[in-house]
Amino acid sequence: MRGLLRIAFRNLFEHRAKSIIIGILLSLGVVILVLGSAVHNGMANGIERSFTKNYTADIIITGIAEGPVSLFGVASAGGLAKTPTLPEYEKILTYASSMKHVAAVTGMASTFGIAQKEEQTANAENQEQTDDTMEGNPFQIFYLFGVDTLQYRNVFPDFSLREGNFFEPGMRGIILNAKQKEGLEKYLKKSLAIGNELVIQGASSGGVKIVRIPIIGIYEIKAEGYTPDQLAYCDIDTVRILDNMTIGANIEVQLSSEQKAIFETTNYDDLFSDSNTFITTNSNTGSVDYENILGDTSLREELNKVDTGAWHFILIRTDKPDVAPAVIKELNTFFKDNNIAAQAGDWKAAAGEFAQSVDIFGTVLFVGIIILAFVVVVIIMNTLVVSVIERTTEIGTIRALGASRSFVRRLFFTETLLLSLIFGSIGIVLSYIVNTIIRSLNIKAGNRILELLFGGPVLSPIITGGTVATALIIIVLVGIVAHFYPVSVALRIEPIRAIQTD
Amino acid sequence: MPIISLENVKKTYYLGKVEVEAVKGVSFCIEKGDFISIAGPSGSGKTTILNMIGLIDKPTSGEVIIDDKPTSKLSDRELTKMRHQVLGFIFQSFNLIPVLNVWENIEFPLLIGETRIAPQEKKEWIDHLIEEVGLTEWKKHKPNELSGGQRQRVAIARALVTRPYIVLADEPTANLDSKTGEQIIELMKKINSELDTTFIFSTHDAKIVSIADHIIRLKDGEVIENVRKGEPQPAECR
Repeated sequence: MRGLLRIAFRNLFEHRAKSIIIGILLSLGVVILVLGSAVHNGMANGIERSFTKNYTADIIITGIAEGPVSLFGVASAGGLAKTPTLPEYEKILTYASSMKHVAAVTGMASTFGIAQKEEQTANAENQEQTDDTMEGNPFQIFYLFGVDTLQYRNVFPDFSLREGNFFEPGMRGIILNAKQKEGLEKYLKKSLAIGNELVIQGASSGGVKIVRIPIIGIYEIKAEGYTPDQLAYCDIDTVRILDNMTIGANIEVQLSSEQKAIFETTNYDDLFSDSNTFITTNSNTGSVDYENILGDTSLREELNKVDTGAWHFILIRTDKPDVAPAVIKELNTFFKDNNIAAQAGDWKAAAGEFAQSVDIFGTVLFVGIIILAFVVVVIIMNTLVVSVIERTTEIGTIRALGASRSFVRRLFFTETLLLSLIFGSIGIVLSYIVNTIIRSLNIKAGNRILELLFGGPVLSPIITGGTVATALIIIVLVGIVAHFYPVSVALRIEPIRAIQTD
Repeated sequence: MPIISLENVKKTYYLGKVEVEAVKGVSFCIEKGDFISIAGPSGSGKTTILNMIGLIDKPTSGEVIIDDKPTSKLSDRELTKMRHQVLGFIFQSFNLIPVLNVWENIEFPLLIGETRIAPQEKKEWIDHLIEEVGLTEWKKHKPNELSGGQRQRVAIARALVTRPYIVLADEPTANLDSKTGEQIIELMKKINSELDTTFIFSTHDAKIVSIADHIIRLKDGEVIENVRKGEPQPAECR
């Protein structure tokens, strides 16, 4: 092996022009690979940090729906799926609070709301008109986070207000951010201050609800760039009203098979064609007590009461972020064992489509790596083939002296491996240097797309041990794949070529 | 007891559509420990015969038997093993590995085979060969730092390092001046006597031919003379 390494190393040095060409390609590939991954790491890290710190905590527990459930609703084809109410909230909360590594727990609900102008309020149920007025001002629409006034700040201690106060127990109100306030002022054509009321229409699938709530504070935007500016915090009951989270919302009416058959008919004439349907009686309307028959609306009112125990989510802060997967696993086992229709997920599940940007960039990076690898393989392959052809006499001599084909194969493999490792390592050193330079330049994003890409307002690529190991493995694989064809050419060289000088 | 025998060996090449019969049914035997010259003008088939004995080329028909083993049906793996264990090569153009120094070039055949020898034994044997070919002071030098004669001495030492029974040398003096050529042949003869290794070399230099014990003269792909120690030899082995 030592002899093989010595020959391989010296051959690389002897044919240094080609070695350098291949080496530059390999190093460049590694630099692109490492820096691309570093930007991705920085982005993922920035988004995860901001989301877990400010919006999603480490773990989310939701009810089960047909699509994935996040803080921003249920991802569904039509976008109208209702976020499921979390079943057995108290039981889950008690269990979660008692778990090892769980530092804080809070309930939450979310919905969409649309700000209304005063003159629109009367016509609020006219959907067509509402749609018209929605055009042109994105700040009219809210993501409303209904929070548990007592627990929310235990899970999100960094939540801070620029103006006003956080919710007191039982207090109703909305907390906006400065951008949102400004946008709303433009839309409503009036200035807004703490104490002013907003009229908000619920935009859930459960029907139209309108509430009038006071602005009680202005919060600091934390994860600027990748969370919507239209995110507002509300007291939980307002969200429950807007999202139609009433006591009767989940009660299903059980119909008899005869009643179901009536709904299933398609020929409506059949319903009225029986001569016995209508009978002639002596009219005596004066004796009917309508008040007695229809006056008792207590059940309807009871079912329409806001369900004060209804929550969409439980958010959990763990004492260490890396324990989240284990806690999630334990929670899901608990749900399964207790037959509870709930699920636990990580911050990505909680952030929904806002976390997908990380995966999208990851996919783009992966595709880029495949293309890059392909190009590098082709160039290295061609260069190695030329090298093999130039070394025909040498390979013939080696074979004539009694070297087996496997020796020739090992010789080329060793040369390729050495090239990949040496220039791969150079590429990694270069990546660290470039990374340090990039970080010291403090490159600012300047716009939202770049902010998203940078994982924050400043480009902060992060090179990890995993990134370096992956880059080295990929580049060694690229080298190995690239050497297959040239080696097959070398293996076809017969010993007689030793005496045939070209 | 012959160590090599050729039985009606023919070799035909194709140059495009033209058929060239380089060797036309050659038969002869070679005894172990002999110093053999295959002589003849250019194009007589010397190199082709040496390549077939060296198992780097195959006859179109006929059989090359080495050490009692017919070689025409051997696999590539078996041929490779035989080349390594039984044969040593000295090429006209030296064919040294340019990236290795004298010592390493001589060591090289020991690195590619399956048999391993102890490091100390290996070192002593290579140093002995280097001394034998007179290159002790040059052992750290690369081939491009050596003269033609010195390179051919390295090639001789390399051919001997695996202790083969047979060493083949294809026009070993062709790229050397006459004085150096003679020195090389004398060196080969000396080693032949000392190690009892069979040396077969091709040449068209009459002066060098005369040193051989056994002369096989070729013309147009046929044996025209086969004389061993002054006595004509039959085509068939005894």
